[in-house]
Amino acid sequence: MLLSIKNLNVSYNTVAGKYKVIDNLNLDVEEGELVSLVGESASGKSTLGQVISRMLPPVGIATGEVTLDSVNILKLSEKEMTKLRGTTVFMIFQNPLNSLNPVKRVGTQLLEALFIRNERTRHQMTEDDARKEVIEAMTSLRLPDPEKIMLRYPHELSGGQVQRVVICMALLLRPKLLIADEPTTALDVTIQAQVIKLLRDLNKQTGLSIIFITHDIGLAYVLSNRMLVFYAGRVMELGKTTDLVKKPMHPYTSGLIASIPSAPKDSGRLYSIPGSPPSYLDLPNGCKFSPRCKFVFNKCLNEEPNAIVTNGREIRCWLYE
Amino acid sequence: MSEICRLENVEKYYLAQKRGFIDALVGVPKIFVKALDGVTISIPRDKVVAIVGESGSGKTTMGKVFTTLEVPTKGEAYFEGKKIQKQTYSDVRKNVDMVFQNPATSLNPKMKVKSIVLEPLLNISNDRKKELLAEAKSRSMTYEALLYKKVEEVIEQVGLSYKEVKDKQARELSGGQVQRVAVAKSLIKRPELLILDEPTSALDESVQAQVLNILVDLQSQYKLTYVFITHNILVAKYISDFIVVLYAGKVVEYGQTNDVLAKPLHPYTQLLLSSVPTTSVKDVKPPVGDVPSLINLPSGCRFHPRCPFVMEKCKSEDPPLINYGNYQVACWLYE
Repeated sequence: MLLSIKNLNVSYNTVAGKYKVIDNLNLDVEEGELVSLVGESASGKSTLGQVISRMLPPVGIATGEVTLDSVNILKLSEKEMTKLRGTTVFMIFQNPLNSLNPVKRVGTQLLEALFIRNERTRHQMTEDDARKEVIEAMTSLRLPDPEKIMLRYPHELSGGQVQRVVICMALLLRPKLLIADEPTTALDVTIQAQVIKLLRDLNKQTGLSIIFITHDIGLAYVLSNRMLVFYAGRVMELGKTTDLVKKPMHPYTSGLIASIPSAPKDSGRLYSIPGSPPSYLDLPNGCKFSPRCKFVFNKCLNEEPNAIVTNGREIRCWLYE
Repeated sequence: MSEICRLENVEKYYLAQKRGFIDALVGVPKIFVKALDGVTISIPRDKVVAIVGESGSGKTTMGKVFTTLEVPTKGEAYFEGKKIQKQTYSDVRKNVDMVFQNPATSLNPKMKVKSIVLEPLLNISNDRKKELLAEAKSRSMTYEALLYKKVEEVIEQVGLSYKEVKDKQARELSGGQVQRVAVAKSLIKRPELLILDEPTSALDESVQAQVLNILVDLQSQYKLTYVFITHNILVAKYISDFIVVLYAGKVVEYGQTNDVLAKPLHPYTQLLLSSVPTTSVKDVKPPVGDVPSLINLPSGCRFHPRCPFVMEKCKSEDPPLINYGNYQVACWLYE
């Protein structure tokens, strides 16, 4: 087991009050697994990514147990955590430009990543060898003219190239777990498809585990083996991606899938989930999805359903109790 | 099928670098970014035309040429058969409107929603004004009261509650609500042509579905013409009757949406479609390489460095846009 999350609760302490963003989450990720987290904006999916890489903003408080590579990272000091970042857990953000230093050349930053890995594994390497390895990694990501790109600054590259440079950094650091937080939202479909292919190849060749955070169910379907559907900080449904997409059980999952346009407009109106996601400061009683659910009944309004396991998937809905 | 507007051989070049007086004196050559490079296209009336392509393919520039926000470097744009010139700008602008990609930045942050939506009504053609004055008389209300009545009607039409939003500012609304206010602002002056520039790309899927439904209803109700700019093929498939595929400032394929998406002719369209992740196929097949630089375009067909079917002819000669069955396509494969 690479990652095991038990009873995770995350809350934010703000001027407006304390509110819970993740409620009692349990998740296990095996080595070499591709897991995707989907949900609307503000459903808590990025917060989970930040907890695993211990990058919550200072107002965030996480309690519970997050065991990564047999260490409970919530108990680590910042100094000890810094040693795990990069080589154990690596995070890719939506805007790749923010993760690179704008005043250092791409090559310098990639070499730095390689030196950090060597330092941690106590491995000796000459500068020439290091340079060779960086160029090899860049070529394997199909970056054109790696030697020229090494001399450039991040702003001189296109969006797709910068994202590939960040992935190249991950390749050099050889993390065990990669968290990708909407890595392709800023990219074109064709470049997005290239990045997706790359992540899948990486997973196949090096056995890297990937947690992929996205709002695009189609993308999650193409990439992942297992899928978590988030709503208001709760996992509404968890199971094999193919099962979930082909036969969604939770009304929220089926609503999300039905709202993806797939046919021309003559074939009828698009389904849209009525209403909007609740504010964390004023969550509804009972099931958090009940105000927008079309199958709502009395029990939903008063009691919140627990996650139960049926048909090999975890689901949080009174319909299946 | 009558057409509402048309572009003929439109080129739009932007200067890539600032070129000072001394640069001009010593003869530093001008470097151009070719955003649109010889586009000829006709937009049919009462239909929805989707423009798709990667970023930098010239989608937004094309929309801006239709709305007179950009003046083409070369070539002509026509609206209702009349050439768009400086003298005719005010007429065109009364009948054309544009909804921009980022709704929050296209609305005045200090104005209340009702004033934002009212503003276009204060500058309307004389005919429309007479119409409204007559309507005010028949409904026995003042002209001003009628204008606010119209604002209320259009805000309700886009699915917002007038009471709730009228005194709010744009920042107090959610993304989907702001986008609907932007649509209401454009609709109130009853444009004949509405350019929608990525209206749903900043929205969640369930909100996107709400906005698309409203747009489809309004289009059929008022017989509007939409030019719908998007990079999302699934959205284009849902909303449009015709689809234009742009690549590096050129139209590579144009045809009815059902035809083009079912059987794309141009290799670029084929690869673009197979890059879209859907819930039906668990795979993507992207084209290799990147979009070319718009400053140094490849010789011949601009797609040839990435094309799987490249021939000798493609490297030297640029294919023209030809009619092929129901399609228009620019590719030597169909010559």
